[in-house]
Amino acid sequence: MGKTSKDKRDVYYRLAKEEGWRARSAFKLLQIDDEFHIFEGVKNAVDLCAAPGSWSQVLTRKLRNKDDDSPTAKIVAVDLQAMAPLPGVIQIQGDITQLSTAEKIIQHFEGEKADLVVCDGAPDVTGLHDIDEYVQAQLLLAALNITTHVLKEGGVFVAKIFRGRDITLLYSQLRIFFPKVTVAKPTSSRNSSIEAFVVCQNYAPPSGYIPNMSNPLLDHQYCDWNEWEGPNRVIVPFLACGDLSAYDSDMSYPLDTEYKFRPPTQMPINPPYHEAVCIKKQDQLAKPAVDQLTKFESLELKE
Amino acid sequence: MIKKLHLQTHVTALCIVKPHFLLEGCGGFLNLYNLDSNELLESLDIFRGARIHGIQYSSHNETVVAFGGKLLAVVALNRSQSAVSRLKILQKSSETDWIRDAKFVNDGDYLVTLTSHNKVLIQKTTSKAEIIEVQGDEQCILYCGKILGDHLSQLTILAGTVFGNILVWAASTSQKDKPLFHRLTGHNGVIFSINYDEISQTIISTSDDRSVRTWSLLFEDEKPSSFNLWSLFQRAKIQAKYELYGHEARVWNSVVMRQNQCDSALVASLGEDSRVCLWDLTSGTLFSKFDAHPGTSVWAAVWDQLRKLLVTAGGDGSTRIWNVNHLQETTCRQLKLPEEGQVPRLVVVTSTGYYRYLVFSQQGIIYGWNTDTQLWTSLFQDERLGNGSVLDSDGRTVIFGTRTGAVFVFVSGPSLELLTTHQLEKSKIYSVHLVASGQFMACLDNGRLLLLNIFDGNDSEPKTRFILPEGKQRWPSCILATQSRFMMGDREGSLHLYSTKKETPLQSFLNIHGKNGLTDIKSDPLGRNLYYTSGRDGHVGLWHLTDDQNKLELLSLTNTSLGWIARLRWINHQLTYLAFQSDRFVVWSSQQQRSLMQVPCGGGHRSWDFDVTSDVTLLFIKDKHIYEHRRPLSGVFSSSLPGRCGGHSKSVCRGRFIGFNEPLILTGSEDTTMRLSRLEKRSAQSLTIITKHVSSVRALAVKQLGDRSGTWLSISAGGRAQLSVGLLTLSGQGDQIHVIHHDVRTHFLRGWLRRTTNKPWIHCGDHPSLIPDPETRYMDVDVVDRGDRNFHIIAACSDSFIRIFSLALDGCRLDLFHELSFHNCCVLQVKVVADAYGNSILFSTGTNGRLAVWNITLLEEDKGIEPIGSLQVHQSGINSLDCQWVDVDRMLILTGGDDNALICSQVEISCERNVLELIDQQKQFPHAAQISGVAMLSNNLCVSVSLDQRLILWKQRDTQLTCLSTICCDVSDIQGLDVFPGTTKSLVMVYGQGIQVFEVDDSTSVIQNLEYPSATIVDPLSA
Repeated sequence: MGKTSKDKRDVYYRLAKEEGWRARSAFKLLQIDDEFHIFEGVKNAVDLCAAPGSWSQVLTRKLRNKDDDSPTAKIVAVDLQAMAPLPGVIQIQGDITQLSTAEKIIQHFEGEKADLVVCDGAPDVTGLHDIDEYVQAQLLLAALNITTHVLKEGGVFVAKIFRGRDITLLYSQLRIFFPKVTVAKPTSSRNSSIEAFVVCQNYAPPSGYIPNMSNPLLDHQYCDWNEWEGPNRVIVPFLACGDLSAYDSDMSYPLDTEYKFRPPTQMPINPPYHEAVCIKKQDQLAKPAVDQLTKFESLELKE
Repeated sequence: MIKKLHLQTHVTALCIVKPHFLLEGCGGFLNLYNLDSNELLESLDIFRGARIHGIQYSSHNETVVAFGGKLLAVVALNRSQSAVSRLKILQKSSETDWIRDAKFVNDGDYLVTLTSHNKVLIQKTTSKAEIIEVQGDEQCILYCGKILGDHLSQLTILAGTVFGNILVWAASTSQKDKPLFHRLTGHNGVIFSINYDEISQTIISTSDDRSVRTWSLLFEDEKPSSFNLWSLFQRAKIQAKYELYGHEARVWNSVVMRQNQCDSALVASLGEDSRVCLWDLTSGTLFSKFDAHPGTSVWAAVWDQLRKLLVTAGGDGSTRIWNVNHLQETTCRQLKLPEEGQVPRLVVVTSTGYYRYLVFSQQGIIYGWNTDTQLWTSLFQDERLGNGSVLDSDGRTVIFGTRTGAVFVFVSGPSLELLTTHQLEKSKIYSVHLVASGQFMACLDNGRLLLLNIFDGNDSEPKTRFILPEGKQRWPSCILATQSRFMMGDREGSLHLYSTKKETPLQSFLNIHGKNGLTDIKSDPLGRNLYYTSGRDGHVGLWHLTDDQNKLELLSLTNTSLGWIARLRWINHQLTYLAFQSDRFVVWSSQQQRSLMQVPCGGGHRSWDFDVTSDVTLLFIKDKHIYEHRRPLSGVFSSSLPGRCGGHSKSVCRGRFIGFNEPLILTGSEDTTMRLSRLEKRSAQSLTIITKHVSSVRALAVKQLGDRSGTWLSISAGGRAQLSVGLLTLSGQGDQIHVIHHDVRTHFLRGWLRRTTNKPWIHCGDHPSLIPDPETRYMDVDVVDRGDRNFHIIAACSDSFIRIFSLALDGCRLDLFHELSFHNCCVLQVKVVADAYGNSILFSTGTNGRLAVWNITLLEEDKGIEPIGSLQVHQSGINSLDCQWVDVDRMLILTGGDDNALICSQVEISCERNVLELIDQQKQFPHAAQISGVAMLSNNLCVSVSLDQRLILWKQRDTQLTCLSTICCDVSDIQGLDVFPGTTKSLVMVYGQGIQVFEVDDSTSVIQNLEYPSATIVDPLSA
């Protein structure tokens, strides 16, 4: 396959590189905003699981430098992994399941709470959908847990979900904290992908709820076996985002003859497979002993 | 009501139960096999759609604990011979968190579970209510965990965290503190598995960082008894021993294999790269590496110590049995000739006789190797047999042609016996070939071929003469004789058909296998006038010889992606390719789509021979030395469990029923292959694998030719703008169904694109050149019969066009005929139905939620048409559509969308008046995720299926749908469904990460026993 074939197949991948976004997911947040206006009046925003930083980029472009007189918004990006620095974004390299991280965020807002928390985190998928959906749900619940510490009442929480078998359990958990939960699917997210986003508005924790980080939030269970297959599952409204003139992420667009290939804006920083790939490149992966014989013998001959 | 019939999906859990049982977790089904008789004894749906991730057996109470996700089931296993029903569910429960490990302790009195937030649950098996919780100090998410210890007082937990640490802690119920004995760091990613080998006191972990690591327990002073786990782990120093890199992707799991208690152990590691690596635990060396589940992950493995078998399970839905014992017996060694200065030139492996290997030296000496004495013996000498001679062998007879026109025929028996010699013309013999029934053929200069009887001896007249068409290398590379015909392949890659009565070929296919040569021709063992050819272009051709034997028809030419195929062999009734890929000799099974054996021999340009008896032998020459590579047959060929032979290695994008004597299924997959399968033994068995696509097969359409013929037209389309037409001819029945696939035509979209090059000598820079436009994907296809074996193929394309192709089967023509443009977004579905007046009405849907209706009855080339009308039905992509006429101009359309909506619309459609009008519409949101498949059955039944894995059966009255029944599918990532209608009962197939087939009818279902105890929602206030 050619170097540019992904550019042709995936218009948003191409546009992201052209417009300097670190990942194509930037368009997803922009299109969610088109529909829900999540950035209106936001002073403090948090980006959880921020690396490589495309949503933080959207936050800076949308919340800062609009006009110079308004007090600029504060943006805090949290991720476990290292992330290349971004101007205007305060970065915390930390674990979102730790209370100390929540405290650090509040510290940066000078005691204030956030108006908006976004989370585009996703695990490396294994290929077994039930595991992937579970880990994604845990990631979202961890994000929700820290959000209950830092989000102001009435605030907005946007997070990625995988629409899978037990997604209704996650909806019911979110409903406890947000009266308005909507599933959003931006046109920049592929029709064929199981990914979607929950837009949770009007944060209103149950009265008397004390945020508690010492225990992880767990997703709900089916009350009884009926719910497994029955009609009582919690279904939340769906909204497609992005106007109809927007590019279609499933469509293949031809490239101009003048088109020039661009490398990705930000390469991954120290991925887990880094060492293994180095070893493979040097042809140092272990080889079965039996296969070595003919190689050794032919070496001997040359001497 | 809906009933589950067949399932093929990831197999994710295995467990051996002595003496001969194997338990397997496939989806939510627990399957029990007898390993000795290789039969499926029982299949029990324990989790109803949730996947089984682990199975543990306790011999104390003869009970199995199976877990997956948050569910856990305790199942009694009756091992007695006479038991009718062996598996019985004793208890099912649902935990609040994902279960990572579970086992019985205290002789079965307690059940211990480890959940994903590092919490241990201890339950007394006799009184169900009492649960003790022990929370580990660290609560981060575990990707894996292992419970060690057989007694509550010794419970030790090995936990692998998402941050790449391994925690070793004591799950003590008595003490308040839960001492963390050790934290092992080193892995650079998520830990996917931890295992502990008691005998060598080693921890084995596998990880996202693609490594397998071993950790040794070391003791400074006296070693505590290994029965006291707590003091063992407390006092040990745990040291990282080996970092083993052998996999090319993530490593999911490992299993320790030990022949006897005192033996050193092997560790099998299971990779995402489809391979199993066998490591020596003591030395850390890689012992063997093999492709166990090609193209997909190896999820689980167990070691059967009794039979010395390794059982693996993978993402292709297969469970395979490996004779590892025999894998170990692989030898590769050099066999030195007894006399110095003798340079081996040609090698032959005989299948019979005292001397198994024959080596012919440059000086014309024949040496024979006896495997018992392990010695070379000089057998024959004639300098004419030296440089420049050519040979052919069938394993018993060896024939030589020399540079001076002499022919020697030897027979390998108790010794090597010279049978006859012939002196042909005083010309160089370019090739000799043994052909059937005591005849041979020799090729002289200028392509002259002589056919002779072996026993006729010197100066006999040739039976027949042939002449090869002109060419640079004018001699045959292989010859196959049939009753009165000869098929010859030559070094130019051409295939010729000769009759015994004519000197020149009846038919020639020039360069059909590229220009590097055709290497082998084999006939199908079932007869049927089918023949296979192979070439150095890595292709395999399937040919049919007409009944009058005068014409060969090329049915298909498949690219195997193997570098060059040198020979074809039928081994165990499987067509096997002997091929060379870079510097390796590869034995490739076409049925299993994997390499059975690989030997780094240095490449194809050498003399070699291969033989299969009880051993598999490759003899080859490298750097003027003779090498022998041998392994037992059972170390090369694995066997599969019945009904678990596996299917596609990646997601199934489309499936279609084919109604032959019984319903068969044709599936197209992301793994670029198509499979025609038969439903049997609660699973699916592949009858044929079609590998003609270069990218994923996303769309399929089938149409029977004529009403009763056994031939189906199959249209497949997918990525890289490839559309392919084939004919499937079926015969036989039951497990004797035979399939012939005839590849009719393949079409690639091409565009006029400017190609720039930095090679100035290629005049391409200024001219637009015709190159494939590979980025368009076909999303869906449908086919319309236009009579006289002419068809229109309608294809939905990702570049917003609907393309119509005309197909003429008789002229073998497939041309782009028309392009319809309307959607301005990726087109997802196309469907053609006929109306009461015989018009062809096309429905098309796009990712923007719009449905367009077209009249494509009369299409003229170069004349654009507009749709009759269009409706905005969904918010975003319409993934599925079905429709039925309810009146002359009235139609019900059922659509399912990305927006989770199931919409039933009644529309008025009239081609004559050019009208499309919405009359009535009902919208429902029964699914929690996008709906990927809908279908309307007879007797007002409908089905819908979604990525939330629910299949819903509906009763439909006008646009009103009422839910009859719901079932949770065992297949995830469901891409769609197809139905096979029956009078009372219909079959429904859903496909995605596997295939599942259901039977549906409109009888009301009996309320099923709800075994799961109810648990209340965890209130965040109480937490």
